[in-house]
Amino acid sequence: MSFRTIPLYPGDMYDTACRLASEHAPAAATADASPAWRQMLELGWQGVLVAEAAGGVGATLQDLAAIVEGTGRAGLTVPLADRCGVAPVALAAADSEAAVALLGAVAAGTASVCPVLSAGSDGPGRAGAARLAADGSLHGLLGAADLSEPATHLLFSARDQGGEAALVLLPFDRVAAAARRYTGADGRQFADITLDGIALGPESVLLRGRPAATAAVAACHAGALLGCVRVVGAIAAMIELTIDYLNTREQFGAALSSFQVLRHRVVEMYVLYENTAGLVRRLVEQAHETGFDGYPRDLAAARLYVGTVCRTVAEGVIQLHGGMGMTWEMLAARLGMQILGDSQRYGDPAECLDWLTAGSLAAAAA
Amino acid sequence: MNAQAPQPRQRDAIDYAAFRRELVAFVEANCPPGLREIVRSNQKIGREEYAAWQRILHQRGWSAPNWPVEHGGTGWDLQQRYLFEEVAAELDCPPLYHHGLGHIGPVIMHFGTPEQKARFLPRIVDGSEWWCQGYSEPGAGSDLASLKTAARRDGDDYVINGQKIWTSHAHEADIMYTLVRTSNEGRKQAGITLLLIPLDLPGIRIRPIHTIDQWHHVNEVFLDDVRVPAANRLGQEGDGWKCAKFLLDRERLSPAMVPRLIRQLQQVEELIHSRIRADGPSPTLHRALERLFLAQASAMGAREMLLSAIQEEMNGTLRSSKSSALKLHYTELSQQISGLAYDLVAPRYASRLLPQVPAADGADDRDIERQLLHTYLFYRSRTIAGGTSEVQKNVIARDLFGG
Repeated sequence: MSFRTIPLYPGDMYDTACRLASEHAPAAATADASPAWRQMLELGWQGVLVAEAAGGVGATLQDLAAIVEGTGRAGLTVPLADRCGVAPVALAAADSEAAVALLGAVAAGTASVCPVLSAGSDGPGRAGAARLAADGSLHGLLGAADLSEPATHLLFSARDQGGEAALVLLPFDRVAAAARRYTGADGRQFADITLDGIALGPESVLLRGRPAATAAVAACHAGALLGCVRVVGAIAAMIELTIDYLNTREQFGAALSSFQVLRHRVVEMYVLYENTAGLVRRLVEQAHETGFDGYPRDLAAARLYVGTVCRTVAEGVIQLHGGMGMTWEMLAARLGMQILGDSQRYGDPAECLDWLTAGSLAAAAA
Repeated sequence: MNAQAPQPRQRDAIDYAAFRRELVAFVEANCPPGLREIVRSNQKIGREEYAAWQRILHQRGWSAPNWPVEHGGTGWDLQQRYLFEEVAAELDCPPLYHHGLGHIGPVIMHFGTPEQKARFLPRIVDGSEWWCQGYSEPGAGSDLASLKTAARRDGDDYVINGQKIWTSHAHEADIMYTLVRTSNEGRKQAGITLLLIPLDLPGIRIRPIHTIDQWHHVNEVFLDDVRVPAANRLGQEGDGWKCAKFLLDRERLSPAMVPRLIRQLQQVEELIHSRIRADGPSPTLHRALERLFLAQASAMGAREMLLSAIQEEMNGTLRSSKSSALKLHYTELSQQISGLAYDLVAPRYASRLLPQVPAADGADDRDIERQLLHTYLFYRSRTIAGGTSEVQKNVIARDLFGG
């Protein structure tokens, strides 16, 4: 029997996610929702973390992690972590009437909020480039919004003239024409959006000052963590696929899996997988216990580490599949591209290193 | 038996947080500061230090955490044993001496006669008798079954001739549990027998091996016509391989491995911080910080791997690939951490490792930076001893690839 990994959170949620994701081939980018995403909306996955009182499921972070891990195995480009984790966490922090109403629509799948948030100096990452002028108009650029599936709203961090943070919600159709779209290295659809003097009503600014910064950091915490969870799911699948491939493919009259040098390279990836899975499980449990307060130092260290793991595993899997590893057709290779992409969002390795180093230098001096 | 014999408890009834507090209170009150300082500063510890701590634990009934109560152990479950090791590491207590408690003790419990259990087990628990392992030979390392040390039956004795190598602690041990060849017929594993050989018998010569860390751990043991009573045979003749496998299967998960590593990581972090305070944040120290952060995350993962493996072992679902992965990861990570320490301390200590006239006040021994250089060199053995990394990879690969 082929080797199978043990998921972080086995159970119905995980099984459903695996089944659903495996039924859908990655869809070509269109303006419409992909069949897989439509099904996820119908299942209410955007509302998994939304409180029951707001129309959501009110489930645990572990439940959402099971979904993200399970779908992470299949190579779909759906923005699950953004839409089901990051946006609901930020909207819940806003706690205004408009935010609560929108959360209900998000949970029902009739709205979908694309987050473009920054932790500022409270976490790893660069400050967002959106500016809020004194007359209430917006300027600057929203970079790399994940629009792999249609969004009804954008939720983003901005700074006013005094440098104070703001959490801004904007209907997407107001800026759709200003979006320059890209296909990412991992196949996802991103957009840079120029905010050129767009006038805002007061209802668009959900939070200001410290509460806005706190909400953005909490949402980035969720995004960073769920990105790691997705990596765990993807690496598990990559290892299983690679083992199957090596057991099946023959060269020099023998299965590739009979060559020790190849076996050992898979073992090295498996050990990294077990280690990363343990690390991510711990961080999920920690967030479950304490909420998404702040951006934990442990999470930044984890993302720095996971970034190196993603490189090692992605490169290893490509190499072990030989020429086939260079093809987009090969799921293991596509997953490799996806984990590389995941490691670049909500605290890329360089940002994490800079932030951790600054913290350590301050601690050493204290 | 223990001075205080504890009673086994049901798992559901165990309050692990309270248990941990009890451990901390006991260590703080009973582990002598001098002993903790030796461990904190990474000094080489030997029988004197191990035994001192074991005597203290024995008074409390805690000297055999991995043993059942009927043989003088605590009866703790793996989670309790992990907490014990975590507290001991955090508070710089000496480790438990593994050859008696971890290795031969459980084998005697399983394979020994009532007389052997009565003779040997109590002296392991109270630390009065010290053991070493006579397994490897010059021609039998990873391929242990190729061992040649011969035991010929002569009346009520076996007569032993041969040589053992890499025998840790032989120079301070009382008894060597020894794999010997009693037959050359059939499969080579089938002709192996386990004998318990007192090291004060005539014909035994112990010679130290000078290792690269310049600490004395390992030895060669020469056996020339050594007469050992047949009553010192464990199990039947030819059962030696079975005994050795029993030991390996039983000890595949050691709760001690990760807590010591995490403690060492704290020490390296303190060292980097002290350098930053003294020299400013140089590019070299920036690089050291990056390696530290990566090791911290990796160690956090290793801790979680161990804890989940403990749960799986307690539930009977632990796979050999996972326990081997843990050993592989832990040993390589410990080398990365000691390698980081090496890069910090070697510029000063590589040329000043062993003072020819040590400071009279013991300052050289307490100098943790010097000891970290010894440790780096010693830790090269981590991926060799107890199954090399390459052997571990073969074990894991068999599980992953189904053969």
